[in-house]
Amino acid sequence: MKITYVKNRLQTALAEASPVMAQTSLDRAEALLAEMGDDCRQRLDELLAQFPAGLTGDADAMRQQVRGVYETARRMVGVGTVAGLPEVDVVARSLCDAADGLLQRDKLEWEPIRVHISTMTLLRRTDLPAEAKQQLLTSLEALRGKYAAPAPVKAG
Amino acid sequence: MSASKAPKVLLNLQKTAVLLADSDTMGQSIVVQMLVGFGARNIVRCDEADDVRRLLKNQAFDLVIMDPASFGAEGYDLLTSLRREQTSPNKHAPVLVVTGHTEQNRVGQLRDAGANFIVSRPLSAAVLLDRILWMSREKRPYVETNHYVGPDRRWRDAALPLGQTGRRQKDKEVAARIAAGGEMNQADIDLVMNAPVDTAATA
Repeated sequence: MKITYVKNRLQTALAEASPVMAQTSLDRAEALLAEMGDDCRQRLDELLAQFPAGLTGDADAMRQQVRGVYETARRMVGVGTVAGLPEVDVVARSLCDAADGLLQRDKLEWEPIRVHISTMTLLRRTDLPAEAKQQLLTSLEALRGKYAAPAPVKAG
Repeated sequence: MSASKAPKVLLNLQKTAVLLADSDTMGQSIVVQMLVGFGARNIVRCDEADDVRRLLKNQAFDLVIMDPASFGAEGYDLLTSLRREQTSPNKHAPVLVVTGHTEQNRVGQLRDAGANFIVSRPLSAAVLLDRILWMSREKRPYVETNHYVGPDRRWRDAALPLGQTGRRQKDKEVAARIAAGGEMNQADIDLVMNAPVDTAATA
């Protein structure tokens, strides 16, 4: 085994910059993120529109469609929070788990995907009461648990 | 209390060369907004795996932020090959992996790819700032074996960044104080900000 001690170049670059309080940097970043809300809501709508209406064709085609659902959901994660819709991120991650689990087990079922997409569409509405949002997320948890791929088990 | 709110902590990325590798433009834009807020002026955005590979070979960066999953299977190879490329100016660059989701069959691959830190989306500005601060204070050596090249993963007294669930008793004590609404004392701050490297563990 070779061990190398190197100078931390990030530390060097930070030390060369004029001093700014971290809290000031953080406030500026959050202000800039707040400006992205509309763009992120629009992006969420575009991604929601990319989900298929169902799985069609032979097994290979369906596998590709589930793969596409996974990729679309993965791209959604993080956008919801900046859009002011953090619950959409939760559902998108849950859909990633479910779609990944379906692919790992080669179970090409549409129902768990449909439920996730419907939930996301509902959560996209900004007028939904907080209790209703929470209920939707709670009911989805059982579905995620049923379809998500199990974590890999370490040998030994 | 997050590290960013600790008194007298400074962060300005004005002089930091950042490579942001993410094939999703909105994911990129969100991180760019944060980095610009942190003062970054030199951000190279890249959404093609081949371009990422070329840049990593030819241009030195002080910080690499990468979403390997966004590039598909090739994305994981980008990081692994970066660490194994003997002549790369970024072989020892600090790498922060940002991921929306990792497929179960790729968890091990991501873990072994040689990132300095992995964070999940949704990513808040506070979390990104804390992780950058944490990475800037890292003193871990890089190890090279047949199976792994990257920052040493055998380290003891270095506490995890706040918000991460640690398994050590010391992690739990700090987390419990914070959860109870208690302020961090100097020892806690030192634990987070000046994590010592246990050189004995690297021998």
